[in-house]
Amino acid sequence: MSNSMYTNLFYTDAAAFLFTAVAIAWQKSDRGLIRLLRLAGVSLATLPFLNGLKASDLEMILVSLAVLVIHAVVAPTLIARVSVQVRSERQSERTVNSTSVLLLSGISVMLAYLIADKLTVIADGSIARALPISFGVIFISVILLITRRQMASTLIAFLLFDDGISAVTYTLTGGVPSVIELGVLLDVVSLILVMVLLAIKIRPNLSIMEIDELKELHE
Amino acid sequence: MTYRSIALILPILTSILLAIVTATSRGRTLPRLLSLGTPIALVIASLAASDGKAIRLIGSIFYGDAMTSFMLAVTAIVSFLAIVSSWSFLDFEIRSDPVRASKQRQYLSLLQIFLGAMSIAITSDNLGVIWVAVEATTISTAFLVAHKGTAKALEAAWKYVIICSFGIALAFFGTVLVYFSAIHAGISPSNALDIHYLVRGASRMHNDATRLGLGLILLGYSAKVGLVPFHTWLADAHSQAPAPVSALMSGVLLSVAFTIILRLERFSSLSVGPGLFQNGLLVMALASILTAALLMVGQKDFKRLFAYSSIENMGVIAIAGSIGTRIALYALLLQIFAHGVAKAIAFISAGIMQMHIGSTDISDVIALTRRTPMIALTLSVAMLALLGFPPFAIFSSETSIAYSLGTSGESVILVLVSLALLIGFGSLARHVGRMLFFEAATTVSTISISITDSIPLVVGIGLSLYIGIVTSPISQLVSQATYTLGFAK
Repeated sequence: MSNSMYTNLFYTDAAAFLFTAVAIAWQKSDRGLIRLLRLAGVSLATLPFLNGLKASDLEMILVSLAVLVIHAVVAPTLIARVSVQVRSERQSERTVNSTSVLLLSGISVMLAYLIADKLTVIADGSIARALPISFGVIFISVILLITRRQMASTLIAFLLFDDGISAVTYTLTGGVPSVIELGVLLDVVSLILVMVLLAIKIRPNLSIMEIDELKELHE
Repeated sequence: MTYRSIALILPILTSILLAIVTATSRGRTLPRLLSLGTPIALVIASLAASDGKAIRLIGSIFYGDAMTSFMLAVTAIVSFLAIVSSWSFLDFEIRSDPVRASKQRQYLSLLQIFLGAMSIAITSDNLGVIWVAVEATTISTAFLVAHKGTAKALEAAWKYVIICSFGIALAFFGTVLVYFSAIHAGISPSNALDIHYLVRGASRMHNDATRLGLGLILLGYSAKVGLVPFHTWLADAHSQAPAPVSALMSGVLLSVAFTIILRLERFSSLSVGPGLFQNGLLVMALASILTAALLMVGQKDFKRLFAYSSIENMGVIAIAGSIGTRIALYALLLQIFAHGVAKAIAFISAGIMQMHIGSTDISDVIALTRRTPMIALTLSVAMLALLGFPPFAIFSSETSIAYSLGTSGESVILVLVSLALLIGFGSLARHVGRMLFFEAATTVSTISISITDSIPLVVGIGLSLYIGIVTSPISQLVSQATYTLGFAK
């Protein structure tokens, strides 16, 4: 793969990743959210895949497959269980409207460019210029966490947050050592599983599965 | 591979094996006795790590020195107390609801996974492996916090997982940035996450990536330590978890998370200057001590009271970490040891009271001195130790931290910390005093304590006194551990 082709493909995929994150912040339907989450997982897994292809590194390509399985298949499927268990047709409740969410996402991406700029100066290689996109996804996940009240949305925000951090890894360093990468993937999927199991157990105690309903321990 | 390196990973291997055995074993007594295998393995590993020069295994993935030995020793002691006290907790649970007998396997197995994950976090020098291990502690303890299955327990577990996972995710973000900076500084990618290599290459890592990375690591692990503003999970989780689990979380888990910050402080100081960690720790520590002290004043639940006392204690430890002098670090480690044992006694006593009284409301617990002299004694000792009365070790550790603050010219901080500690002192003394001595107009029943209940409490009291009165060999181990931290001013 030529250098320019690799760079172009990497930029395109990173842009698709950011676009998916913005769409997640804007999306209301639960099913739509899960579909977009899967798409974000595919975009994320493509980043190490391209790195592996460029470096002819089989280990990195295998890591990208593991990322695809965890981030695009297993984790979204688990989160979908919470959405389905709670309400199949209801739409996610949120505290601000679509326009505000899009505006906040735009501001957060600009902020990401300002912060990441200091790091891209240090970094070698052209793909590091895609770093603000990963930062932007992290910020959008925080917006999602703040503006949505449903438990399922918290899980989606967590996965997107993790997607963003992983994207930083692939953009800046080409990924952490494989053993640690696999450990991190295992931890992420275990955590999502724990959160899903807890959410399902909590369900009978709540009426609409909103975080505001968790008041048993308020002092 | 030497016997010392095998000994270093023995707790991890033992806990994995015992997690499988306890999860599959049908009997009641054998799995409980076998659970003690991990504390024994921890003692062996601690002795191996304390003996001579540092141990390295699989590059620097596993690393053992005096600091490792110290934390393994604290974990061994508190885990022994927690496991033995778990026996009576499980018996009580089965007596109350025979259907929950099957839960014993899950409980004991998760306890082993928790201990194994903590052992990895203590014995690894690799930031990536440490991160994976700390995250694994969250996963295993989430189910332990939710063990009772009540609405409150599930809610506490949910909050715990959410706050700690986002916190730890921040720490991973920081780890990635430090890794990037290390590679950029010419450190080989295979060593770029090893703390010792980072320290060696720190002078070449004076850049914004390191600064941002270390800031995120500090924030991330602070969530696990329970420092303000990430403290909200702590009181919920500690109050809802079974008492032995609360003892382990409060006595060891918070300290293990803090020692990760401590081990990175030298790297931070050499790369981006001492200000980042020292100021960050100081601000969070002060906020934690003040918040915890104020929340203790009107507290109605005795397990939450002890949990807030843990936040206050971690604040004191963080203050010592921010000072960074040899005396402050020595005091910090001594405080970790003494607090771990004293808090274990407090939570185990609290668990026994909860089992017999059926409530964790302070107002429901009265006249303990007459109803159960044993618990009254253990609770009094734990309180005296936590409040820093001599001859308990917290007296000397807190005095040393105060001295360090004074000699560092931080008089305003010293006054603020002293005032907050005074509020916490008064609240703890008032609430526990009421539980011990308040007499009700109505007749109250006596509480009989079994021998199994008494064993961890008696051992705990003995250890608390030992740490405070007998200086060697603990002071020697603490001194060596302080020396390995190596950033004393």
